[in-house]
Amino acid sequence: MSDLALERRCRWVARTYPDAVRAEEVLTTLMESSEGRRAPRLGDVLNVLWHALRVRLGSTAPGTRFGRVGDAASIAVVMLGVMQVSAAAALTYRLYEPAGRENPDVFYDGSHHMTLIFYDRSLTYAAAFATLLGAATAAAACLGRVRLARALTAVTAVTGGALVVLAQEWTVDPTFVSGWAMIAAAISVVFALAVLFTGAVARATTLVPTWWWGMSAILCAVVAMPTIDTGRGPGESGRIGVLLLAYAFQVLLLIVLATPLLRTFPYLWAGLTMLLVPAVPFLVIGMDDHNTPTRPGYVVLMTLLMWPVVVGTLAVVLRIRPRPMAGPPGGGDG
Amino acid sequence: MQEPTFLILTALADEARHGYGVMQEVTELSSGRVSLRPGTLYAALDRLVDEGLVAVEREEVVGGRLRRYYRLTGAGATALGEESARLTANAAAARSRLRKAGVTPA
Repeated sequence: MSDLALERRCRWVARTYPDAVRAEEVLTTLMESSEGRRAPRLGDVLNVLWHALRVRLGSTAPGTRFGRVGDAASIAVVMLGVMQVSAAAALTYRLYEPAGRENPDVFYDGSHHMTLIFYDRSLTYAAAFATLLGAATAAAACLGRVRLARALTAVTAVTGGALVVLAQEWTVDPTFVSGWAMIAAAISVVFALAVLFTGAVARATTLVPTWWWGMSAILCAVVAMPTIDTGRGPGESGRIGVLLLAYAFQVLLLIVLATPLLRTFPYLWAGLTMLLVPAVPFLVIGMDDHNTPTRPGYVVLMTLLMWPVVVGTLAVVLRIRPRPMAGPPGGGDG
Repeated sequence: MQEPTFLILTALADEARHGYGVMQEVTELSSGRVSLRPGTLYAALDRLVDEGLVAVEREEVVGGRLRRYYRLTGAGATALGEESARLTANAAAARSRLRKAGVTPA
């Protein structure tokens, strides 16, 4: 193996760094530490790749505590609250669904159609496990204060929340699915925007302290438990209590979400939260009036989904900057 | 201060070194016990530069390869001195206790 081949391999590894100068520097170090070898050590390659990934993920906007993914994660966490509330609305809607009623718009009456039951349960379990995974990752993030884990937490939890909602609605009315798909697409767009733009939209949401992640882990786990059961038809004994408990925890989750935000933007966030919380029953009422694509629940939900974007835009316009957060002890993160 | 950080600062105490030079020096200082990998080294250097303990001194192109030399800053020298004093005091305390216990430290 020639030096040229070694250099080619080292260059391939070093190119994973976003900074060209740093990539050249790492290339030199890799070449020097691989002298006399046919290829760089696997451990060195993996180590460089991992650090380059962390650099890419952690490329921060000036004055922010977290990197791009961390910023996006914070936005996604806010989304999680919204999705959890909408899931609660969907659960509540199913409480109103009379068992076995004849309605061409009702896709599943809770007693037949085994294929649909399979889909229903599959989606519900997928959602529940995704949420549980999110909870576990949040717990790890809390303990380890790991930036990447925070991001994964948020993404997983939001995915879980979206799947929960999808699972709730799938069996009730197939036309709902397209509506929820649109919502999921809206979330994806907002999330992508957050990743792409590290400006005030991101800065406005990099305010979630570490203690929150521990609490969110517990809450996510508690919320996920009752949602496992939602694949069955309505009307079972004891079910209403479980669902109401889930609803209560989801509202609590929203309040917990709002708390750290209130700390930094007291008036702005207080106003938005005051708008958000009363919207929940309105959302439920909207859901109850199903089969109408333009029903108010959708409008409210879509508005809520744009919440962080609205706040971010206001932050840009008003030039509001959050307080910098204290770093973890020892400066280690990642 | 973690041991790799301490060793990196120590490696830069007497003269500016480039990445591979720091890696070699750390291995020598620790008698082969600590071996830094490139990613770990640059993660530590980035953090130390951010904290103002280390600074980039110059860049050189040797044989078509870029070398960037790092040096200890004044704050870095102070931090290294304080850490050395702390470790010395801890070591002295440990030796004293061992002697009282009738154990001869190595």
